Amino acid sequence: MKAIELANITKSYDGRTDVLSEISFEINEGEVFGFLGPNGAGKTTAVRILNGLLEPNSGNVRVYGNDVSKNTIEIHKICGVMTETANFYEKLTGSENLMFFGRLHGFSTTECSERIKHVMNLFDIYDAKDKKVGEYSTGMKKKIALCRAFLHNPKILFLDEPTSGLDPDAARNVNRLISTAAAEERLTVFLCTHQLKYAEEICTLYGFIDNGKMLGFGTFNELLGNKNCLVTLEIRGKNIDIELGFENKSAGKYNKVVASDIDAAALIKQVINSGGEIYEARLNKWNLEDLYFAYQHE
Amino acid sequence: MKDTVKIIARKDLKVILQEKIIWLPMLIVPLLLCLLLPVIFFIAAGSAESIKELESLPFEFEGEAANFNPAQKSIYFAINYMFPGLFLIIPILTSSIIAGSSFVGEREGKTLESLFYTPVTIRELFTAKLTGSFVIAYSVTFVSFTLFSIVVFTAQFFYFDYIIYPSFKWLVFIFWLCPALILLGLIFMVRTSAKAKTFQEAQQRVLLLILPVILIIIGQVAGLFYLSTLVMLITGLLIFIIDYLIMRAAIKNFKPENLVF
Repeated sequence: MKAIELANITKSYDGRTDVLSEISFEINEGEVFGFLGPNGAGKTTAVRILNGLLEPNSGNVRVYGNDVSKNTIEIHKICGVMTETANFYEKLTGSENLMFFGRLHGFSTTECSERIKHVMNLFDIYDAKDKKVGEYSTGMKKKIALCRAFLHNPKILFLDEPTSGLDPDAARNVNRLISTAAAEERLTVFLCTHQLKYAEEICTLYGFIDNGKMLGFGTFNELLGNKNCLVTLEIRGKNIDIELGFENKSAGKYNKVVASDIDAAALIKQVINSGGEIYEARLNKWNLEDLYFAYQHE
Repeated sequence: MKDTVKIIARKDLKVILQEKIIWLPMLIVPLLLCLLLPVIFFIAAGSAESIKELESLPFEFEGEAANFNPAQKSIYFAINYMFPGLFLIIPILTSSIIAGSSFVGEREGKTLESLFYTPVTIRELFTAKLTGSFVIAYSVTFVSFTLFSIVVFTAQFFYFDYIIYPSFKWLVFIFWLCPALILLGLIFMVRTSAKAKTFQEAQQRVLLLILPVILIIIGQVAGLFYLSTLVMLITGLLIFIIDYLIMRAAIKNFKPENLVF
């Protein structure tokens, strides 16, 4: 089943500049989709359009088959959203905030209490439930926002920069929690971020956006297949035969472009057979960052 | 819808009670206007200065009031003409403060977007906030009225042999004019909340509503005109009509795109 369908979405705030321009893609149920782009690319605008808060100037949007322009309330029942601009009531405690939002989603007080306990334990913030949100640290505020997004058993999660403002340790921890919770609850995740390192850890599908335009869409291998990405065998050693086609990068370090892992293995064998000594061998493949910049600088 | 109203109103009340800047004026102004000022006035009612002020008023005491002694006349005038004018400040002030917190405060605190992500329709949200704010504002007004009534009953006991308060005029005032004014204050703030970026900025716009009240008070004290029961009935009706028209326009503009971004 298609979780998200965007068809030719265009959005402008001032009627002159398009914040989103002819955006089209589809995401299947269960995917962890990384919507990647720099600040101001249009990611948050896309999230707001998908949740019915903004109307596109043109195009159609469906979430689990529901037309967003007609069934906004149905969509809000199945979507959990975490954005940087959707705050909490700072004078109320974490549990009071979650109780309020849970009740608005139709839970009874008892159901809500159980659900709050579950999600706050999931994100390791239960101990702070009676503390006012205004006293929470940045990391805790991210966690309580995640709790709210998960609270009503959504089918799809929209997470806008869930790790921004966090130190690396906390960011990795939040990433792990999202990944585990999404797998446990079998969710579709729409993750917006410009932190490619963290996206690479959990995403199964990617969309690159910049200045409101889609640069690329697909799995990592699909996106890789569209580019002339080169895999390089890098070795550090002695007596390496240059005739084998290696480029001497620096003292003791040599590179050669290879077609595949098998090609690399054969080459290493040839180096050894020709009397070379290998201290270290590594295949340098493109990571998500390399891929993203390749699309961005097209 | 009923549950949504209760949930949102309860939350708004919790938030208001946490913010001193919101509940303090709603406590101080009623205490001042409904307790302190009337007590001082009623104690001083029989004094020479008070009688001198009364004699300078261009007001004709009619009916049973014509036979009152100067202190009784002073109190009669204050209860029926002076204090209603002052009391008008309470519903306008409380409604604008509460609406400011309820609408502008949400926008300022960036919690309005959070609300828009819930499965509550725009109409439900608007109605819930308006209803909740109205209940709180009217409760403060009614408690202020009760406080004032206690003071007046006590003064009545000392100065009169029979009941002169509450008159039909006061009943019209509390149950007809005040609700209309509260709604006006609320809806006015909702309209201006789209433009005001902060709670303080929104409160400055409240002066537009308080100004006519101040003019009414001055007009009454200077003897230019007097708020009769009929005037209150007609004014209340006109305000309810204005409330309805502004509310229809306000609900049309109550959209996430206009309010949040």
